[in-house]
Amino acid sequence: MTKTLERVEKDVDLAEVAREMARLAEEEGLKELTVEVGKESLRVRRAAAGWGLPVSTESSLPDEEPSEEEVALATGVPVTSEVVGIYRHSTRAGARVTKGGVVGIIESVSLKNELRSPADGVVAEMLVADGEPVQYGQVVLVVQADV
Amino acid sequence: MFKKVLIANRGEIALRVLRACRELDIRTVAIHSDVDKESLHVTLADEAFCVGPGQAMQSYLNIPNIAAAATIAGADAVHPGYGFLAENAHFVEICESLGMTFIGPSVNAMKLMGDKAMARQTAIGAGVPVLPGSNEVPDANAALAFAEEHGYPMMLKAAAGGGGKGMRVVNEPGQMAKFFNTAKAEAEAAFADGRIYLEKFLPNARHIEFQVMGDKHGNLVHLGERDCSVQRRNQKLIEESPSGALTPELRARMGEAAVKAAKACDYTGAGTVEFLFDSRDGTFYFLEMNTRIQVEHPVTEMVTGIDLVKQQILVAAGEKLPFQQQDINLNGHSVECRINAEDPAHGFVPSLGKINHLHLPGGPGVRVDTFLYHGVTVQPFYDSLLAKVITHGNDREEALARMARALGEMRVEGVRTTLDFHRRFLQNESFRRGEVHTTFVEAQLAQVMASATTGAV
Repeated sequence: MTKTLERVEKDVDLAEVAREMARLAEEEGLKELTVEVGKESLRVRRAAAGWGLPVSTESSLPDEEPSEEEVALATGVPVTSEVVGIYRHSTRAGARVTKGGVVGIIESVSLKNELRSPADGVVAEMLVADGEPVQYGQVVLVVQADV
Repeated sequence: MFKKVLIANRGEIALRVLRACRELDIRTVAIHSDVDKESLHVTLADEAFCVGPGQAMQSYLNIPNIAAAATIAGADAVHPGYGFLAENAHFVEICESLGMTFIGPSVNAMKLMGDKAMARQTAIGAGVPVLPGSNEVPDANAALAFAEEHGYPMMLKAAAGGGGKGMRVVNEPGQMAKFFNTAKAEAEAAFADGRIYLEKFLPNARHIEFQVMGDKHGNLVHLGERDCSVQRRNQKLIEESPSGALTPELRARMGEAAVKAAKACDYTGAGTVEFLFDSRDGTFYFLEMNTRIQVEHPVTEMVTGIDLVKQQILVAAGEKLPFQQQDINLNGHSVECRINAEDPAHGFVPSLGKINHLHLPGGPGVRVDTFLYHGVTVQPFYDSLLAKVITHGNDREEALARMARALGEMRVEGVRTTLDFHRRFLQNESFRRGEVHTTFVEAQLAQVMASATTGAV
């Protein structure tokens, strides 16, 4: 399937584009979507846990550089929570993780739910402090996957 | 009194509960699915937790995530609204095990009345009249045998039923096998419980229900009736209070029967006892008891002046009812029209989309309970109720005139709605004369749809 982008803004917010691509891919039922513009290309891929897009972008003003979180999200693999609970760290930023490895525990009322890495790579950023509550769909950390 | 209440619902009822909490100076915790994050109940709550994706089974029915949200937020009570977990005894037990008060009846009362076949037995035991009916029937043959003995038409009903699901009217033996299977399949899908029983069907009866309210000190009163005879396939469309079919004497007798049924299960909180009423001879029969606040509760609030949701919270917190039976008076008349995102021109199929124009009516005697705002998206996962328009007048005529005027002012664009259907229906002569029964809409539908609309201004 080919979808043509009719207009490409000069100052592209990559995170915004990635989100839009993920939305489009979800709509079309795709697992992966690549957009090529000349020699540049951008690819989004659905993780096991879903697209895990950030729920808010209040920090991003139109003319601002994308925040670290947005860059991390646009290029890294977000790890999202499927449950509501308290996040307990079992890794830290910069640590190596393996696909399927435990990167934290989310404690709900009577269960300890393991949060697993969707890829081999390095933890780019921890977005929730140890002991803080997380909601369904919340991005807990971002893994920079090995190329 | 509670300090913080988690509202385990969405849409207009979540807002209704939130408003009651605000007025009682109780903090609120909303839960929502990821598609509902911009819903009004989320925006207006003090805190909000996303508990799952759009599908209700994984969000508004996700007990582990809801319980975790309540615990993290430190809620001391949970209000379930109606639908979703409102009549789920397991959820009540979970709330209690976490030290939170479930704002509703006890587990026992809920289990007893939640099983429609057991509720029937309870009513019989309390001396409340019921229609001829069976115990659980295992198959279509057993159903046929019962119907042969007691005569047609018969209603197939789900023991775990509610909301018109798993119900079929059988007019003659040839329909039994097919309808039994569809009712059973529907009941299994909706309630994970395929038990079916039979009850004699009264085609021209009215659906009249009594609001009851009990506290934890043994006080229980009724707050008059609601006439919900205007239904389509057992889905209520218009409700009013009081019913034009009842005399004060009948009201007193039926109210007393409702109180007896509720007392038989030591009921606390807000509940509704439903009756079928045969206006030809003034006989009435217990149908079932709903152990929750109901969609149509506002018409009772309008005529009694009692805030049912606040009262529900107060009695759950252990307070005594501030009124007795003799203090309850029905003042004037109130009508509610349910505006649904459905297309009446195409069999009332649900309609989805973004609300791109909205104007809500106002003025004397008009109340609108809705979660709509300009720009909100109507989601595919949930009930199609968009707004409840409620009017009050000194008498039925004034309440209906206000309704016609209010619906004429109202605009909802972006989705198809039942608004115009209601405008037309209000013109119906039989309805205006108050001559309605539960199969009236289906009988009159073609005529109503063909009539010219004069409600729009």
